[in-house]
Amino acid sequence: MSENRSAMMENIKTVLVIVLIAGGAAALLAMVKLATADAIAAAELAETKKGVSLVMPKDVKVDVTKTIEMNNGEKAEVYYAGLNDAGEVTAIAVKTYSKKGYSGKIGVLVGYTGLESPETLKVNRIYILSHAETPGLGAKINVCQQESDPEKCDGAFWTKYWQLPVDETTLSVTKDNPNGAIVAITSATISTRAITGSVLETGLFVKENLDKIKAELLKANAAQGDK
Amino acid sequence: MSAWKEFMKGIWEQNPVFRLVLGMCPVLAVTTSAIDAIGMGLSATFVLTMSNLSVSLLRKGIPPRVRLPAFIVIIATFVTIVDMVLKAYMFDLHKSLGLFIPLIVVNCVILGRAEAFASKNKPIFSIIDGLGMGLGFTLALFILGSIREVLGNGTIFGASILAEGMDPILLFILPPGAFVSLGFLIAGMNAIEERRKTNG
Repeated sequence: MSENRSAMMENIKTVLVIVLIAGGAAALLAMVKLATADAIAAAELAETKKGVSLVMPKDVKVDVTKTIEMNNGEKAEVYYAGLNDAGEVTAIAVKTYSKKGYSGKIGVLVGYTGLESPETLKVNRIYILSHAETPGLGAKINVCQQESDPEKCDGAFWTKYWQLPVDETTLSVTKDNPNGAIVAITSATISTRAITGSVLETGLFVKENLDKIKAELLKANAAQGDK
Repeated sequence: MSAWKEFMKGIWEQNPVFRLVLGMCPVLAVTTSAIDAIGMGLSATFVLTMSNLSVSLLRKGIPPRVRLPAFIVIIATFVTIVDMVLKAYMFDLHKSLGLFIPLIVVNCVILGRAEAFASKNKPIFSIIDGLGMGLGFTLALFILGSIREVLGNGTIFGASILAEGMDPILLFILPPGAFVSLGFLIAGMNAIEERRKTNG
């Protein structure tokens, strides 16, 4: 009986120790999270700013604090207006994400131009904000992103999308549709499909709601500009 | 036990990369540039030192049966801290190291030192062991990263060092370059060690 009891005590002690260690770890992490939350938010904003300025054509003015959120199907996307000197929206950058990556969400910024009519809409360029794809394979989506001249990034992932029109045929991976414009990264078809999918999906949404989005962006700009 | 000896063993005699050949995954993967190598090495050093310290402090309280889960929880905690701090203050480095930061959790150097050293030794020596091993790891990564960056990209810390008209050897940035460089470095170290033994 007493032997059983001591074995029992031993088990309880084991469980307690593990619970205590896990609890201590959780407390420590909570403190670090609180301490770094502001800095992480600031760093992410800076990254978004840099990304937005890269995906937009050079001749537009962008203020990343003036945004609207749109609900594209099931996900919320953030829209940034690129304004010309006359104050018209001539480019849109959209912050979206794909859940279909090989490992976790892929955050993507897409710049669209040709906003005169839904038919002329095209992708200006894309920028990968965040990803957790396999290093050496899917992580190649990140290559040469800081460069603004596609000529200098021979074959880099983002250059595949450079200036493509928004339609289902062009924005598809050649493995799925021989007429598509996107050749998948070797051994990273899943990552390529995920990003191509969200560029297309978002593009079609912009196409359908073009006037509404432009109006909303102008409204947001005017409203926040007054403050 | 001399503290200096404990420290130096990680740098040379038991260098985790060149002598123990542990934790090869980040060694081969993130050494395409000197700066990434240093970032990775120092992150691992921090995790290694802190986990060695914690494991050593708790070594008498952790029942042997659950020591591995306990060690992993401790290591994972410090890795997550590194991940958050890097993201907050060194965003670009965090982005280029990407998945390799979370993967420090499964770097066998760290669990290996917790199990083989920290769980049996006093906190002060465990810290020294962690620092020595960590810096030895960093040094190895840095040497490998510099060689690959210089030969494969023609730059060091991003600054170009090639004369006009010279082309870098792309192979060194690619995975085979990692294996080739590592092989030569280990061979060189073995040669030096051999000479030391026959002379001493």
